[in-house]
Amino acid sequence: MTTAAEERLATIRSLSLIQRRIQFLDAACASATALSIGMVSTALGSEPELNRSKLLPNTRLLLEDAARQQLYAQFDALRRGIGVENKDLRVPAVVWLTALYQYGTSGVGSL
Amino acid sequence: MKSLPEIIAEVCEDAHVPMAAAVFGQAGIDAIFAIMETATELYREVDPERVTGEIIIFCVVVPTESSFPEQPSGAAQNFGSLASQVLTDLALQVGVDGRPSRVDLGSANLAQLSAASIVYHYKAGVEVFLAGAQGKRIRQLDSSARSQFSVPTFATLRDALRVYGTENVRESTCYIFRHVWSDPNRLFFKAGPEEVMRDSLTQFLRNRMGGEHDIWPEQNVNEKNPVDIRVQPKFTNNRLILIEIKWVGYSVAADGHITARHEHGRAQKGANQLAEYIDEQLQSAPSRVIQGCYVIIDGRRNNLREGATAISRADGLHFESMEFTFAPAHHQSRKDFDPPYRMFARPICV
Repeated sequence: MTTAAEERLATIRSLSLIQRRIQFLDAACASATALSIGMVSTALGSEPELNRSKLLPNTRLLLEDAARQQLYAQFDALRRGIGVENKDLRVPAVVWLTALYQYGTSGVGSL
Repeated sequence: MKSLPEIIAEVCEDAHVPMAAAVFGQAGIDAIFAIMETATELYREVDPERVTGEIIIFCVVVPTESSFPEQPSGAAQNFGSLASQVLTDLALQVGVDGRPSRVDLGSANLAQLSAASIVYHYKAGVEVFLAGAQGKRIRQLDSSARSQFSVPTFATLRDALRVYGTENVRESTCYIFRHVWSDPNRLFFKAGPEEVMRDSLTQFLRNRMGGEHDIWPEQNVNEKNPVDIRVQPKFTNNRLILIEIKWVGYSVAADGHITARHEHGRAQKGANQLAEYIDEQLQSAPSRVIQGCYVIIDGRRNNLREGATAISRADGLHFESMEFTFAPAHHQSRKDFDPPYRMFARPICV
C-alpha cells in the first residue's frame, strides 16, 4: 500500500462512525489472504440465499424467515466448530468462505 | 450429499486457520495470517514449482520456548530479487513487524520449529501448516494452481482461456471437468457433457478473473439459444464477452452405446452459432462493444469403436495438433470474433 493510501486509511479508520465496522471490514479483507478474490466471489455466490436470488429474476427481500434460519444454522455450525472463546472474526470468515466454496463447487450449490 | 452446516463442521475440523487458533490462540491467528500474506507475496515473484527443495515460512509465537528470536536480525527479504535465482530450499521467518527475512534453520527440524511457531511447509506441490504437535494439509481449492497462495489472476480473458486449455483440460486436471468422461481412460464423453464443461470453465474464470469481471453461465441472448458464458468487466459497463463452448468427439450413454459423434461439422456449426449470437447482441444493444470467444473441447480419438476401453498413443493423440479449418472463418472475416480456442483433452493411452 502506498504511503498516501495508508495515511488516507488511517484518517478513515479514526472516524467514530466507522469504528464498530472496522473488525468486520478487517475480517472481510483478510479472507482474501486465504482465498483469491475470485474464490471469495465464487464462495459468496454459492451462499444458498444469494444463489437463489441470482437464479430468479424477480426482486425480493433477502433473509426472510426461512433463509434466516438457514443462515443461523450455518453460523451455529461455525460456533460449534470454532468455539466462542476467540473473538477474531478472521477465523469464521475464512472457514465460512472455504465451506461455501466447497459447497458451490461440489455440485450441491449451483454455480 | 452433505449439507452446508456439515461441510462447515468438516472445514472447522480440517482447516489450518482454526488449528492455529486452537493451539496458540490469538498469537497463532496473527501468525498464520502473516505467513499466508508472506506466501502470497512470495509466489507473486517466485513460482513454487521452480523451487526444487522445500519452502518453509514460520513465525515464532512462544518466544520463551523457541531457539529463534521473535524478530529475525537479518534484513527484510526482497522477493523480486529471488525471481531469477535457482532455489533449492528457502526458509523465511516472519517477524513481529510482519516482514519476512531469510534465515538459516541450522539443524532445526519442522517438529522443533512448530513447538513454538506456526510453520508453513511446501514441498512438491504439497502444502502443510504446523502448529505445536498438530499439522493440517492445506486444501487445494483450485486444482490447477501450484499453491493455494499462488492462484494467478489474469489481466485478460484471452490469457485465462489459454491457461484453462493447458492446465485444466489437457490432462482433465479440473475437478469439475473430470466428470465429463464416461470411462477412466478418457475415451468417450458422457452423454450431454456441455453443462459440466460450462461449469468447469465458469468456475475457473471466476477464480482467476472474478475480482474484476462478472462471469455468468448460460445467458439467454434470444428466445431460443443461450450463449454458454457471458463475461462483463465490472468497471467498464459497455464491454461484453460471449463465450460459446462446443465439444467434438464421441459421447456414450450409461450402457456404453454411442449417443453422438461430433467432428468438424459440429465445430463449424458452433462458430456460426456464435457469430449469430454476436450479431443479435449488436442489434439489441448497439452501444455495447462485444467480443466472441469460441471454445472447442476436443476429445477426438482415432479408430475409436463402440465398447473400446483402451487406446494406443498414436490413436489417442492423433488429433492433438490437428487444427480445424473453418469456412466461413469468422475469426478472419470479423474483428469481434477471437481465433477459436481449441482445447485438446488427452486420453490415458496404453
